[in-house]
Amino acid sequence: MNCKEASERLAAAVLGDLDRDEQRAVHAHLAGCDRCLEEEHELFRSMHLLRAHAGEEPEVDIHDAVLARVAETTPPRRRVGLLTQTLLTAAASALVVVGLQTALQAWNASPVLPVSPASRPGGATTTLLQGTLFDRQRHVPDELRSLREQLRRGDARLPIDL
Amino acid sequence: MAATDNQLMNRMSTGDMEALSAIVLRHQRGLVGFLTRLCGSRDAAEDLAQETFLRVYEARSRYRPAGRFTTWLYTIAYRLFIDTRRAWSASRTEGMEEKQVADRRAATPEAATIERDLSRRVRQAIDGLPEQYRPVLLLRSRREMSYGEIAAVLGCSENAARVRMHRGLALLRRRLKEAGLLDPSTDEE
Repeated sequence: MNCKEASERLAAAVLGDLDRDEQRAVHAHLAGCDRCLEEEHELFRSMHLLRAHAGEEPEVDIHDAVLARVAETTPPRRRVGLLTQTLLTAAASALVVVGLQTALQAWNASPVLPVSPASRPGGATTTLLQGTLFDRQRHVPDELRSLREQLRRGDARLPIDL
Repeated sequence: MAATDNQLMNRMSTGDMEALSAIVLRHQRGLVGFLTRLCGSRDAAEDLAQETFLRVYEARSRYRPAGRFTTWLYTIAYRLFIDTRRAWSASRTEGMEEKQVADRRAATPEAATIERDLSRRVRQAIDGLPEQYRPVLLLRSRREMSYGEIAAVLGCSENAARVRMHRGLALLRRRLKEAGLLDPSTDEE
């Protein structure tokens, strides 16, 4: 290794960033070269000065200023009392229950086209479930087919004019 | 035992303002020191540090302790510095901190004067380095960050951080030598 090659690697050597072989080669060069050895000492001293003076933390107190700025940017939270919270929760729950009940009643009260139980798979169970939500979901296609037949025969009319 | 930074961040995310207070007290000196060397202005550095802590607070619920807290903190600070540097580039000053630091370290008034002068000249040499080298030198030497952490702060590759450190140190040696600060007579020990 010549002086130019050693000089290019000296900073890395001082910082311990060379692999073992390169480090060994640099040290071998330094053992016989006073000029490069002096440069290595200067790099060590530079690091020392950097550590000692560059980032020396000055007396700082920005603590209060930071907290004041955070307080400025954070809107005050509205405090909701326990009683208010309970009442609001109860009201919301009641609304949900009433809504569900009304929807179910409306659904079950709507007319169901008669379909012969014998024509369905499931027999007696299907008869028991007739008119319920389960029954309607399962047999809506049957009802639509029946309505289409009635329309074709002129036995039924759509509530709007197309 | 003192709470770790990550524990404080967890507490902060639940609205604990004392956790924010502890974070600020723990890191304000290091952060202002770092930013002062980047900005060259103590006032600008304090403004940026305040803004940095404000961003930390705003991001408290999004914080995930994947790495060291300081890496995240200094990443925020460095990005703020990059975003705002045009605003204060002309206001480089040497402030009171040199006097305070030198006085704290030196045993006698004469020694304090010498120490202050040395600090000023070292800082001048660092401030005169190209901007790409300064943050790497400071994060490596003062914050003892790994190259991976420095890369995360600066938004560059790990190898780029390593190369900048080597070149920055070599350049700093030349500047300090030109300033006569590498003579054995200037040794502090």
